[in-house]
Amino acid sequence: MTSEETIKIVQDGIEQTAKLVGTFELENGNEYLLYHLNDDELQVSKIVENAEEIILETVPEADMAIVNEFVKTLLEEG
Amino acid sequence: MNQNERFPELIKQIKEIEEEIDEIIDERDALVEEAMHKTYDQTNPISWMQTKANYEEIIKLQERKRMLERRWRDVSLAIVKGYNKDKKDNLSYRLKSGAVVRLKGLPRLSGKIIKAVGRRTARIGKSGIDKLKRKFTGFNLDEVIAESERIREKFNQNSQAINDNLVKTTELLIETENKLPLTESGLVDYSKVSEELLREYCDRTAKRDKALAQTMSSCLEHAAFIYRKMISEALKEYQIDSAKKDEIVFDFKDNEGVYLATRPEDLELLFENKLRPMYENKAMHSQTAEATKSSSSKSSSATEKAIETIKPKRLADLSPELQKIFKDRFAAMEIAKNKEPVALTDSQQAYAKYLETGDELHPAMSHDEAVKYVQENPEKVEELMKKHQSQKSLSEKKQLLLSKYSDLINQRVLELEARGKHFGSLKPDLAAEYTDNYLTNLVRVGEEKYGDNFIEDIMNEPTEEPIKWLMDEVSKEEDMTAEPIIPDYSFMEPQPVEPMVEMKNEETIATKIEQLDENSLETYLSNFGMTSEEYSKFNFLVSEYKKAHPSDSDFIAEKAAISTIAQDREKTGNLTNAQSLHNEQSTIQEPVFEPNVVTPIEENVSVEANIEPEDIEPLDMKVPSPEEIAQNLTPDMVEHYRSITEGFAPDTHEYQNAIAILNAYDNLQMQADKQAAIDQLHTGDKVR
Repeated sequence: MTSEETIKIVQDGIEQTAKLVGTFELENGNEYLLYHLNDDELQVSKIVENAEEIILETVPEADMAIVNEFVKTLLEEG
Repeated sequence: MNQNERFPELIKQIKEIEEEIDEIIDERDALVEEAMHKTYDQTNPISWMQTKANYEEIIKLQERKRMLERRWRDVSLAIVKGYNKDKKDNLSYRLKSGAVVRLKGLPRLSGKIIKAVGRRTARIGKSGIDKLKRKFTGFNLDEVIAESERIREKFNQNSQAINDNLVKTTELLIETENKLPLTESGLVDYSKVSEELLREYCDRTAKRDKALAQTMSSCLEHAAFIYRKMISEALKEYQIDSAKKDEIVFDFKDNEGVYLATRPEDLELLFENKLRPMYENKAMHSQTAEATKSSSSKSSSATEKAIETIKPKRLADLSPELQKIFKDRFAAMEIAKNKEPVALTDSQQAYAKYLETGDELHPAMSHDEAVKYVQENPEKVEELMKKHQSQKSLSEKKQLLLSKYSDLINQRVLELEARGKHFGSLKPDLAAEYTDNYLTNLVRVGEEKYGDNFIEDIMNEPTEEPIKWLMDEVSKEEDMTAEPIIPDYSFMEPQPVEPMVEMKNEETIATKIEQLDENSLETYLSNFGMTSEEYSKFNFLVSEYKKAHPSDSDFIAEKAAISTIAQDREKTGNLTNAQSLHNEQSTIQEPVFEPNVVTPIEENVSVEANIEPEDIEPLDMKVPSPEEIAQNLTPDMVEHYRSITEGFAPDTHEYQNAIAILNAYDNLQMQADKQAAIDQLHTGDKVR
């Protein structure tokens, strides 16, 4: 058992290991993943899940303001 | 960040519990030590009562220790469980913009291979990552587990040390036992045992016995039981170590082994069964000895076997101090035996009956013994009876109340029964439950208002105010048009007697929740923002409802449960507009939040186990007793009840019910341990 939960992210044929931070859901049902790659910056991606696979997508423009506000809120709270 | 910084409250609790457990162990061991080496005089009631009080104190300490150990385990579990808790239902954020975001932890993605499409959003530098991780996961699991293990290990060190001591002392005893010379028939040949070896044997037996007693979770009960068992089986030979006059030691053996007795019960049995007949009936002694000498049968009585090999010391051979002890005791017994029988009063008879039933520590007295004790100690009995009366049990109090005001109370219950239309009429057994609960409340509230003697006062010396209050309570008029109580839940938690039920003519929260469909209920639940305590109660109510109504759907059960929670909040004025459903369905789906407030709705770490309906026994409409429930508890159910003790306040029905079941469960475990210990003793701890 480990506290570092990870996923493998494949993009453009390149596989990277991402360390998970958490997931959250907006009222419109869109679900997001917070993670970071190689001790790099924090990433936020939209989780799209269908029967076959899970895909991480760019945060849609419509949700961007709320996502930013949310992350900022978390950080401010410490 | 280390564990102490992350869970200061939990860690503090753990440390406090450990300290208290250590103190209890020290105190208990001191009392056990005292009890094991103290003699008492049965003919002296003060001595007898002191000894009994000593044992009772040890039992109380044991119970407290067990309770603390359970608490320790719960707190420790809370730390570990906190990490694994799926927070999606209890960690939501209301942003300044009014949007609601719900944290969901890291459930299903971990370890998977995921395809990334398009540009990812990068907004936060590395420094914020750890901070955010704690938001989602609470803490570092590795650290938690390490800390938890460390605490657990420390906690186990005491019991490990006791176990090690038992092993060590047993090995030493066996070493000595192996040195004991045996007769051809395999018995210990005491004529060849040196005084030095005998002393070593006595010493090591005492040490081993002490370690054995300490090892058992309820050491005193076990030790007393085992000693009684051993001694009552057979006594053969005795030696009196007059050097230890403060802790008279009787060392005796039967055909199976050699035992050391230093406890009061042992002395009593030894005295009654062996020493007295030996001294009083020397003629019989000689005859039996002769008879036994000619018999090689191992099935003859223990006394015969004893006489076969020993030459008991005569009274005159004993030290003057011991002679005096025995003479006094003979004299006391003779006096008691020759006393003219005196008719007992009712209270004396009752007390004699009580003595005849005995308790866990003391064997029940025979009828004659009990009567004799009562006759010889009338003042003491009177005092004890008075004390006993003042501690009249709750059930007796309720019975008294019901007997005196049965018409009014029954009428009240019938009214409630008639109004039980929410889930169908109250069934007779539920009505009985309700009546019981109602009486409990009357007693409880009455005692809170007018003191512990409330029942005695209104029964024996009625005073105006308590009677008036009681009359008001039981004859309080109800609004018969109002929403009925929910009978299935009314007995789960003590209902305050005043006010009994808040009835309103307007449409109530229960009615409104009743009108919700599945979708709107889900929205309502997600927006309700239950606290961990409410969440526990919600789960409990749902499971209880489903047990009572197995054919109903989850939806119905959840609706009933949230209705109860909402009504609770309404009573305390904590129901928001959205929760009260004043704005109808549209408001439910789009909850109105206070602007400019960024506050986690609920970020308490709940330690409740998720109990699935199938984990719980189907409800027999005749509510089973805690003992019955305890007999069939699975580990999950034990955990469930422990979680209830964590989630509910001590004065709630749920808490008390769970505690009763856990205590019954512990008692069953204790009985099993006790039997195992006895079995072990019979098979491995005796000199062959």
